[in-house]
Amino acid sequence: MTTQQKITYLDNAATSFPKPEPVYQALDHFARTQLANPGRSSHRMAKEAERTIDNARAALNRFFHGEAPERWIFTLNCTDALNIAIKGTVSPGDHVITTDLEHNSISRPLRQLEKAGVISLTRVASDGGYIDPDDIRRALTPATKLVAMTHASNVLGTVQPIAAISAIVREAGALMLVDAAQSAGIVPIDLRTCPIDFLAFPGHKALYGPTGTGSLYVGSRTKPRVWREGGTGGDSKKEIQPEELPYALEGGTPNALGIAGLAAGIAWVAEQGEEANRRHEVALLQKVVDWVDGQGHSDGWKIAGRWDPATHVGALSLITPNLDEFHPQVLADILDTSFAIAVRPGLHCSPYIHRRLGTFPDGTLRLSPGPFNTAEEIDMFLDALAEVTAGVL
Amino acid sequence: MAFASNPNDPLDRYSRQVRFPGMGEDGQRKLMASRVTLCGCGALGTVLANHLVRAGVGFVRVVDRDFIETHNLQRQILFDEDDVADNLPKAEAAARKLRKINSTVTIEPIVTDIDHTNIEALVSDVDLILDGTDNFETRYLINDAAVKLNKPWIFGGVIGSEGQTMTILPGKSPCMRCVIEDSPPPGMTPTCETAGVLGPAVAVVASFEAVEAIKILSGNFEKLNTKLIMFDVWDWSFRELKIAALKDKVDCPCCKGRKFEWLDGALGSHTTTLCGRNAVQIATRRHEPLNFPEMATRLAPLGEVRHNAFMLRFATEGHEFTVFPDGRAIIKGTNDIAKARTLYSQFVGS
Amino acid sequence: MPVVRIPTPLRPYSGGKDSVEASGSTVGEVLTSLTTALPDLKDRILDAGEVRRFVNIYVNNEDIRYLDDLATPVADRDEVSIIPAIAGG
Repeated sequence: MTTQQKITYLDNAATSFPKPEPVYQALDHFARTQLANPGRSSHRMAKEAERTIDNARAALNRFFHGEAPERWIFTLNCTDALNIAIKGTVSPGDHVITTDLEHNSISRPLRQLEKAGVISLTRVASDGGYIDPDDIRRALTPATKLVAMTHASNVLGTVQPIAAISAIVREAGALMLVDAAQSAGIVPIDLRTCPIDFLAFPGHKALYGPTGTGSLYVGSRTKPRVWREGGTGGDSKKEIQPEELPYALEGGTPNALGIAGLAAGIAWVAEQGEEANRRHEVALLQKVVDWVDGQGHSDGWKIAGRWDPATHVGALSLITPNLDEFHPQVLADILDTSFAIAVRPGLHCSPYIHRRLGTFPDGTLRLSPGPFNTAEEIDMFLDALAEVTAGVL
Repeated sequence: MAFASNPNDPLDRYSRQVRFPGMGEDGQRKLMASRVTLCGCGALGTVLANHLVRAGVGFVRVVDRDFIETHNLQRQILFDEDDVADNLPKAEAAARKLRKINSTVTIEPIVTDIDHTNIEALVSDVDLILDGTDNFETRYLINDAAVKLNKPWIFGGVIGSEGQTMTILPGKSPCMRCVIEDSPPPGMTPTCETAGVLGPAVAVVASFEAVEAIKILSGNFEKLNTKLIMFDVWDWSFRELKIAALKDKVDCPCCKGRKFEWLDGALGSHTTTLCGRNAVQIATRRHEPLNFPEMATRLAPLGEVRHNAFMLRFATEGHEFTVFPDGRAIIKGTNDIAKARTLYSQFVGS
Repeated sequence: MPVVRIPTPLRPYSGGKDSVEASGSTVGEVLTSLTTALPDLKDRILDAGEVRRFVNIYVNNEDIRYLDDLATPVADRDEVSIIPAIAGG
């Protein structure tokens, strides 16, 4: 398959594709006219670059209703943001709560800290892909410093009751870190009413920026330790890293080009209207769910996790029947090579939930449509599954 | 006396070669000061290394990714049953044997999979590159590196009772891409594993390559082969195909366009270990679909083969291959990328 | 008639024969009559009327790419060879 061929891209949970046209235009425009080092010089191009980044910070603050633009730290990706929050917050003896839905970007740093004897860790189990707020409440102890959990499972697409959980955590005096990798831009998040202390998300998923972008919201109750020191473009006389946000956490030249693209993506999402993209994607997935309930069911296909369209994002995992014949990896390769359909098989970097589902180590077949996918494409995907498995299942 | 034996003379052990008029003392000294990289030390590679080390080439770098298996012994002349029992990498076992054959030669064994990231480092400090590989992907890589760095290389290939060889002098002769524009698609070509191979056929091809190497390294450029040589030791046929004029005639992206697509990583396969499953995925960048029925016919004697429009399943010697129409494959039964690439070359072919 | 030499890997599609007579006054015509008589050979030699890139055709030891490609004239008793690249080693 050549990459030029028209591909049916159903892997938006990994990275969204295509991007909205204004994003491409912004990237091109910025790269051609403003790609200078923001804030490091006083010439007009540097000023323009700085303005672009400031505007993007302000846009994020408006979009999620944060306390102030400077609380939005630009990062390399969501993993980078989560690492800054986790490692900058916990201290020896702290207790941390997480869940079995987490991506390795939360699980690995926490497990490493636990193995090193720095923290104690409680991993709350999900049921049908959902975390019960009462289970978090029960796990909280006086030593609990941080609750780190995902807003929406990247494997199952299930959206967690994050407002309720955040309120419980706030009441207990712990900090709440939310991994919004699958929800930022898709599920409304209002920081005025939802007491989240750290919000981490990538720019390249449902905010439609390019890869290499991400952000961490640093709430006023937090003060993560600085882990990367260097140039900040501001007060160069100062011998150590400035304490002011965002500079404290943004040493080094930022990804100005990527942030310019991200700003265009945020503007595009805001224009679509709250929930418009989510409803579109869930409606597409409903077709898959209907197929699994009908034809697929008799062949042994299953949906992983509970299907509730009201609390779901555009990712869905299928449990494949007959592993020997149709391992998820094999199916994904067939879909790619014979049908030019892009999906993602395997564990999706989230081993604990697959253990919980009983799909470890072979994983599931995840499809994740985006705003530009159509019902016809979903039909094509289902027809392809039926054709490939015909006569064997 | 001209031919008196003097054990202190480093040329003494080569006296019978020095007496050959084409070589002489001058030629021998050049040979002893020369350096080569041998890419692949299997059937062709062991014969090549044996000839060159005995002939007195000063430095031989032996690069190979594989370990010795019993079925190699039929034709890979440097190895023995002890090497199999010791589970030695081919490069290391060859080096041990070669040092015993001629301790005055510097042997540098390197156990690695030759790819676009390391080939330049492996060949940049030698005078000649020798082809002991079993696949075209590595050969196109060698060709790109040789043309880019302006180093001669010698192509050799063998299957069954048939062999091919040609000598490539960048800038003077056509390069491999001038002559063979593209490799056969995966699964479309027989391999030694599917079609078998005779040890003597290997030895003949490698010996032709070795003679060409000795000519180059001793400065006898005018005696080099300018043709694509093809022969069949079973049918007693020998052909010399004229290729010299292709250098100016063909619009070669490599030697004319100086676009090194294999070296740049734009062409060639990409390999990934699949998480936690003892399997490796090899993705190719081919455009034409494989012919599954033909592949199945070729593989059927070696193990169970099943195929439909979407995939071909094949199991042999503890490994399961799932091959897709564009040449992509999942090889189960190993986590080792080098091993998977060897298996792919051996049973799918590339 | 010109004679086409069939390489070992393609002999399953020529009934095992190592050479086949095929009529024509150019390489293109000879290959057309060859693949008409032995249709299984077609895909292995030609792709949309062109010689596949991994197959070389020689007329009496000369590569047709520096003669006249498929328009290269072929005389009676000329030998047309299909030369596949040999991968093993």
